[in-house]
Amino acid sequence: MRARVSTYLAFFAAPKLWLLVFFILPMMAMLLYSFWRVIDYQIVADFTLRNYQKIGGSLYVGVFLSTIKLSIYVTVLSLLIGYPVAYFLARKVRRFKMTLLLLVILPLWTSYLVRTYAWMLILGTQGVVNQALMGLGLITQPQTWLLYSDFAVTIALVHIYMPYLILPLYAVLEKIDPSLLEAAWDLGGGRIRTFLSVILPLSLPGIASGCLFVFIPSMGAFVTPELLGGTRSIMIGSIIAQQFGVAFEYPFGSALALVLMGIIFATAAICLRYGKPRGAV
Amino acid sequence: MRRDNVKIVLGIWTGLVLLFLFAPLIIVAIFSFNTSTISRFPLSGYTLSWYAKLFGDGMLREALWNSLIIAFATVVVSCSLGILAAVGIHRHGGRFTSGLRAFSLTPMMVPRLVIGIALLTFYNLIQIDLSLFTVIAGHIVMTMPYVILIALARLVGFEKTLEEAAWDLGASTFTIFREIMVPFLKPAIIAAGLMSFTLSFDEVVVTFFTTGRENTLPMMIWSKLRFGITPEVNAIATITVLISGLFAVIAELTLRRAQEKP
Amino acid sequence: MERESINLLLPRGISRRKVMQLMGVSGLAAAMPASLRSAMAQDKSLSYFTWSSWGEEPFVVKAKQKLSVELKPTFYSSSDEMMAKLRGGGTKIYDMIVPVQNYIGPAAKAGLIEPLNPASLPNTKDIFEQFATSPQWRVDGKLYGIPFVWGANAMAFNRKETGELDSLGALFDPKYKGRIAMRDEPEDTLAVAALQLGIKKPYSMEEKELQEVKKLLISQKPLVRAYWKNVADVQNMLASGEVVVAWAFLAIIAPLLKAGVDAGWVWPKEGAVGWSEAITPVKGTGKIKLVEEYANFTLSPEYGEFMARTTRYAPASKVAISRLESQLVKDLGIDINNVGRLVFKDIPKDKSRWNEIWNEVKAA
Repeated sequence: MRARVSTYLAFFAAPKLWLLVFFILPMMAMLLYSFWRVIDYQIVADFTLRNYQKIGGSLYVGVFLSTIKLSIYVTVLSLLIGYPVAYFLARKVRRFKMTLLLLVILPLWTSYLVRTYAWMLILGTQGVVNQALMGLGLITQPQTWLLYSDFAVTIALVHIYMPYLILPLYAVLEKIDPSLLEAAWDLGGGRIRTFLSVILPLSLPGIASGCLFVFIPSMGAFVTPELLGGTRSIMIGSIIAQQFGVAFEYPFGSALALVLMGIIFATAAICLRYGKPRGAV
Repeated sequence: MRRDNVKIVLGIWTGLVLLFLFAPLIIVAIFSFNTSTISRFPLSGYTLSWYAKLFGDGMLREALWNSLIIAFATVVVSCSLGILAAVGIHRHGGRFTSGLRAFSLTPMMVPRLVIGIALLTFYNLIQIDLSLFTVIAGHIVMTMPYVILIALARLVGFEKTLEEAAWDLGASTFTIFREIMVPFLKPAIIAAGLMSFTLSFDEVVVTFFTTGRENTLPMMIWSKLRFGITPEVNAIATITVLISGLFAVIAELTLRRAQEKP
Repeated sequence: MERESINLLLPRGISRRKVMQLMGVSGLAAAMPASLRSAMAQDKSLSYFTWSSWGEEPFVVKAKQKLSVELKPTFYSSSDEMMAKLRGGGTKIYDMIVPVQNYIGPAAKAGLIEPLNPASLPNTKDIFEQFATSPQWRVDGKLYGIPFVWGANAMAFNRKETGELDSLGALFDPKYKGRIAMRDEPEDTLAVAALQLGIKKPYSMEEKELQEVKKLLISQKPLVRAYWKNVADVQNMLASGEVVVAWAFLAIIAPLLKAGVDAGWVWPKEGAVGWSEAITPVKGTGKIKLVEEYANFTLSPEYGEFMARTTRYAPASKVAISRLESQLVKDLGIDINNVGRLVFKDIPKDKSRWNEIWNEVKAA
């Protein structure tokens, strides 16, 4: 192809340079730290694998596993709830499309800390949900499992991250060529078959990136779990944050962060590999 | 014409999801009128004093201003660079770019706190004074992967024949980019822009570590909330949503009027 | 070495210059203009790295009126954030901070803060002796701050549900199952468990005692509704009846009473945890005199009274307290005659171990 090198530079030079300067270089320091250690509030540069060995202990493995489990719940739930919304916005609305899209994203423009506090008022023992259910006579006693539980954390995280899943799905669903759908119809495929054999496969790239937008931040989340999780709220994110405080365990914190990255990276690789469109192309 | 039952069901579902998304905001709005600093039902009384306090608070206005500057700058740079990178990855397809794609996406996978501290350490090492610029640089790193992923998802299956035809007609790379790619990518650009703005506007950790003397709105909110002064924060949240909602409606109406004209 | 802090993040044996050379930016750095701060050394502005409470607009206005000092606050929301920012180069930006006493040792050792001249703080004469002479504010004989505010983390309860309480035992009492709140922070919660076990010096516990503390906290877990993170949480929990007894900042009491909650508080007979905060100069501030002037102002009766009335925190100035109504003093959750019973927060000998124990409790 003509001008391969020059177009390559045109497209990649600026973004790559930016990431190199403001991301890769800073992260190199973190990589180095993870092999060093701290003695008396000073970082000492002698190569050690101690930080990584420590992560293999049952405490940290357990926290990693429970963090992954929660993140998967949040991702699956977001997808099930968000997909129909993205589909509706992309293919069923003509007027007010932009407005509806904005409405989906608008709640994110208030601090998520503020929204997390609101969930306490909704799910609390005296909260909106309990009051409503009791008013309707569906329950006689306030339900305490609504708040300070995994349930509360999952709901709040879905609330925070689901819109990030709707946006990429919308962008992908919107481009599906209507003639493809008509063709499928003409071939006698029912609605469900058309959806399964045409729309769903074509929207896989959107599903993949949308799920990543939910899964990745969920893996790092800790503020919401700390506030709504009661006594069962420990996430790997809060352990990482702890290391960068007064304990000054930057090496251990860096090692934890790198392992977290590794897990996410593996997940992302799988998502992106299976996120290729197939079937009706 | 047949009634589109699917459309009705999906519409109702979307309505319910919007209700879910807005439920906390409704609560926040209600409590912004609460006389007590303690949030619980029933409200102790209604007042506008938190709003009055808000409008008199110069520091808060400054913080809001800083947040808006950061968010807009982030959207512009992040979208331009991100779209460029995505088109590049798409064009040069194949095995070679999968590594590149992964590389561009790594910033998403690092906890924000680690990005923040790594950047702070780095700025200090190369003696860059912290300012709004250093915050924006960090936000761009944080948001660019989202832009790239959204654009790539849209580009998958993009008809290369169109582009190749343009090549054969002697169009320059830039022309092709402007005349073919950008219009095709418009929905992705809108989605990515909205997302970058949102991510930047609510970011607190990266901001905290990369800012100099400037506060941003989320920084103010966080440090106030830790000590329990909530109605004022609720008032800030309510106003933010109302104003941005208003802008959205105006934008939509203007767009439509423009389209209706021949 | 005017800026030692830069070296903090580098290992021993690697000089900063060497790194700069390696990175090829030494020329760039030399060409940069000197930081704005030294150029502004003559003006009367102070870059103030602080909690939002002490940097609100009324305090900025007050400083302007009284001292013609221009406060420029930047907010942090946890002590750990403050430390991390200073370590990463924040010392170049800020003139003064408001640390809690237990952070003085680590901050001084890391070279992040500068001592004050005691003679420049004449208002110290009005400060309660316990605070004015506290060893925690001194490192190697140098003074790093005289507290202007203090408080106790102790037991708060809903009097209507529990009656009067006086023992930590209530926090471990199955009677209140599911209606107890503890704090999500190792220095507070491990110390509470230690006090309950009769350990007098919680911050110098040995491993064996730490294990007992861990066991007690794990056995308490089924009784606890939530570990709270922010002051607002525990305040709302008590107000909405989510819990009836909690380990809390007593600064929540005054707002609770104002909202009509029958909130009681006590420093349990086993002990309570104390804290204090002071103005501390940041290493390398060119404005040490101005910082001292402001620090002295925070110790004045005027500042103390103003602070107590606007923020509901307790001033460390005797004269300021004498100007407050006795009911307000009581509602601030302070018991000035019993300050001796407070165990002041400290950094444990092995801070990482404490974090780990607390993580194990939470993960159990």
